[in-house]
Amino acid sequence: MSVLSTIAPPVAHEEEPIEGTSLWRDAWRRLRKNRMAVVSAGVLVFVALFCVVGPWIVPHAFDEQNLAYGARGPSLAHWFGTDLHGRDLLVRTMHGGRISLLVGLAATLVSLTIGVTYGAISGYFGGRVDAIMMRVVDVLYTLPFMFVVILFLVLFGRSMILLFLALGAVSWLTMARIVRGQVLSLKQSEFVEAARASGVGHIGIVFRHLVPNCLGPIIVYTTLTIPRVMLEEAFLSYLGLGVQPPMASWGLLVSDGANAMTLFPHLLLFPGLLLTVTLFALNFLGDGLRDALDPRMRT
Amino acid sequence: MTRFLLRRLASVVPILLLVFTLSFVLMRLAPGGPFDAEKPVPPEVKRNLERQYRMREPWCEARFLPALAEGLSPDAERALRAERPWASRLERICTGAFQYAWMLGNYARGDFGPSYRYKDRSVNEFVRAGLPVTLQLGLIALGFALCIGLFAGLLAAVHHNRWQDHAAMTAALLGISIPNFVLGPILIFVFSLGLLWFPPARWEDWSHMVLPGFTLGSVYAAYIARLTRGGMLEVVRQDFVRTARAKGLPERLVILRHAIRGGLLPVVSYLGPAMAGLFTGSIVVERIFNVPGMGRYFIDAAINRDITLAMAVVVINAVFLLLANLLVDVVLGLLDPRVRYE
Repeated sequence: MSVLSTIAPPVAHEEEPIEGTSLWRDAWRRLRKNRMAVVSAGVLVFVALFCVVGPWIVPHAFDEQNLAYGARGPSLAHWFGTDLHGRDLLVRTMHGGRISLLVGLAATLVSLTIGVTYGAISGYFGGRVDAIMMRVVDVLYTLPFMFVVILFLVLFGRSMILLFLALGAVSWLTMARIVRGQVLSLKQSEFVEAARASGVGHIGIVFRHLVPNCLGPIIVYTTLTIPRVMLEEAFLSYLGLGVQPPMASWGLLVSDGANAMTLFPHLLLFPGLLLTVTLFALNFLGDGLRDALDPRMRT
Repeated sequence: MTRFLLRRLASVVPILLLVFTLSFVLMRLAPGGPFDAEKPVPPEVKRNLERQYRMREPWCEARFLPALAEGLSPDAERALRAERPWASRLERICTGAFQYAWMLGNYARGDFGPSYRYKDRSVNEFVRAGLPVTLQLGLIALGFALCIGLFAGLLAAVHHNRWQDHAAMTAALLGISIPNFVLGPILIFVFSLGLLWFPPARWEDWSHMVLPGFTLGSVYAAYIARLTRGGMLEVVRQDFVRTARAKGLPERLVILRHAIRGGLLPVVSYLGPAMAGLFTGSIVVERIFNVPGMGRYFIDAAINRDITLAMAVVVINAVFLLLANLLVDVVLGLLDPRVRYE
């Protein structure tokens, strides 16, 4: 018996197929071990469900006024209380979240497209093209962009589409730098050589071979761009340049709440808290993803 | 060094020209004139106003739409423009070119022209009143950010992976995530309305500057803390730090005399973008705390379509940011022996 038990393990081990690992599987394992990142992901799923599904469950409409009722603190009928127009703050916060998340995602998509394309082209062609394109990025970094965005929104109307196009158009710089660095180090690889030898054109090499190999950093930085863009959207909405009432966004709700906070602190508290928690979770998840996908950047 | 400075200063000029041109084009393309919102004035008066602001150029009118020079009623002018769209477009471009040259000349002399909104005040008056306040606010915020950020970052780096590190980095992430327009009202609520420590608004003595300065600086304190920690952890692994330790230097001196110089490089290079962010943030912070600075003037001007004032703020900000970045590059070179001024 004792003999058998000493012999058995190696046999069992041989029967088990050796499992390969990949960058993604490794990253997934590391990410799951990062407890704060997992909690953040859970919080984000919850916030997204809260905002997207919530308005169908709450028995109030976001623009349903009750001036006679006015602003009151949280109660059983209105969990987050009501605002100065007697509108239910819970459903307004959910609606505001929809807008904020939507603008955040859409603007990030715009910045992702510009940044990846610009950075990949700059890195791939290298030399003088690269020098000029990166010098442009350096210059753009130093410019007071939000001022131009504000002017733009004031002069050309305050539509949602313009809002996320403008935000996306000014937040692609870091993405371009990161992708350029990656492409620069990847373009000497054998697989690029092979692709070129088999007759793939420049565009094909950049977008079908190089960009997919930079996916790790791109994902990390995209996750970190979303909270930045959401913050900027809230900033513009706070100034009254984002979505217009009776629509709501978190920035607008915080702005209204700050004006009324002496008498009704709940109007500032709930939207402000939700905005902060969401941004916090996104930043935490982004940091966690960076640690998981790019251990070299880990400090 | 002198050549480097001169070259960099020269490179500032085209960038400023770009900023100027961009805001000018925005201004020209904007639908509606600056005088549309006011009560209707007689056409002659409006014409004269537009002449004064160089939105009408007699030479261009005579060249492309001669009928205009005779003084048409607004309706007749609209009809004429609709009838001859190409001549009208050329006239606009011609006028724009004249206006561009005129404004550029004025800007070069430091004259930002009259405000569209407040007819009796020049943009320069607004700038003289607002710029010192904004610069003061920005410097206080930067001071807060550096003190808190460097302290937290060094603390985290020295106690790497212990509770001080985790606490400082979680606090930093919170600082990055909490928007200043949420933080500001909360600070007012607690420290002005609750504890009565600081006044909630205005800009007079130091007690008015604490809350706005902290509100504006908190985000940058957080970024600086992260960069300090990252930079320090990078440096303490290097050989020259090992040498310092090996020769028996106490840890305090190793950090403060040897490691910090290299470890702070990322922080210094971050100061350029940080200053751009401080200007942007001042728009909101000045609004929250009712501070009469450039940010407030800018947002009021933008909403009132006082384009000359808004445009001047954009250009002046660009000037300051470019100079600040130049300064950062010089300091970076002094700190980092690897940097050579070509």
